[in-house]
Amino acid sequence: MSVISKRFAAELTNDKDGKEMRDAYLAAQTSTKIAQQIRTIRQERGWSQTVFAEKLDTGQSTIVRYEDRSYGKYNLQSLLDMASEFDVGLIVEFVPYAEFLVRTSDLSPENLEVPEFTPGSLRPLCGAITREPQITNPNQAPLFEESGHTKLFPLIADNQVASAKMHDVGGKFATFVYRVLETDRQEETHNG
Amino acid sequence: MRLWTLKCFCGAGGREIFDQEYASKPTATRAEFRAVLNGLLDQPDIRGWSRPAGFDRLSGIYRDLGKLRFKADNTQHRPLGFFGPGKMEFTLLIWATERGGNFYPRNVRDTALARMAIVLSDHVRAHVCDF
Repeated sequence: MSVISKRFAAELTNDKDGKEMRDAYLAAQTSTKIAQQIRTIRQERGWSQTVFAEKLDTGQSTIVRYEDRSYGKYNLQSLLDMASEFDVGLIVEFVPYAEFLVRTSDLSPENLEVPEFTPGSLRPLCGAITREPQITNPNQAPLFEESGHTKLFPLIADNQVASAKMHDVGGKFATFVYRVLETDRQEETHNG
Repeated sequence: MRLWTLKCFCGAGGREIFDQEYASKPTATRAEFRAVLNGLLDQPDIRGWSRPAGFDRLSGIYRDLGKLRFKADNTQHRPLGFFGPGKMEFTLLIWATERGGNFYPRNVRDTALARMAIVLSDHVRAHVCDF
C-alpha cells in the first residue's frame, strides 16, 4: 500500500511550489500527529482532561489546546512534562523528508498508542545479562558453565532457550546470542 | 492506515468539481487540508471525527452535513461534506469558508445539501478521491 498518492508526490516535488508544500505539510501534519497522540495516550490511560491537567499542574483549557491540531505551539518542556506523566519516551529528531512521510502516515489510535514504562520492557534490551538463568535442560548446564560465557550469557543453557530468545527478541542481539551458543558448541566439540 | 474512503462530488459529465476547488487553493491551504484529512480518515469510527481533530457537524436543517475546519492563509476554511453514501465513506461536496459566524459563499450550505441529495440518488456523482 502506498504511503502517499502520486498526486501528492507531484505536489511535493513541483518546481514551482514543492518546497513551500513540503514546509507547510511538515508543520500541519506534525501538529496533527502530536495533538492526536496526546489525546490517544490520555484516553488510553483512562484519564479525563481534568485529571491530566491536574497531573501537569495546569488547567483543563491547556489540555484542550494541546489536543487541538490547530494549536501547534508546543515547546520542548511541555512535551517532556507530558512524556513524564505518560511515563514514555520522547523523540524529537530531524529525519529525511521521505521518512517523515512514512512515520506520520498512520494516525490511527492503534498506531499512536504508547504503553507506559514497565521494568519488563527492558528485558529485550539486556535480558541475557539481567535475567535469572533459565536452564531448561539441566544436563547441558555444565557444558556452558565451563565455556567461560556463563556470567555474560546465563540464558544460554541449551538450544531450546537460545531459539526462544530469537523469537522473543529478534534482530541483532538475538542473532549474537545464537552465534555465541554455536561458538560454544563448536569449541566443545573441538576440545572433546 | 486509511480506514475511511474519501469521495468527492462530481458534475453530471464526470467533472471533478471538488477536486478542481482543491487545486485552485494556495499551497499552505492545501497542506492543512491534507493534514486534517489524514487525521480524520485514520479514525476507526465516527467518534474520532471531532472538533479537536478538525471536524464539526452542522446543526438545524444542515445537521446531515459536516465541515472540515482549519485555518490557513488567514482564512477559516470549511470544506463541507457528509458521511456516505456507503459505509465508512465521507463525501466532500463543496469548499466553504467561514468568517464572523457566516459561511461563504452565502448559500454554500444549501448547495451542499442539494449536492448531497444528488449523490444519494446517484452514487456515481461521487468519485473516490486520491489526494
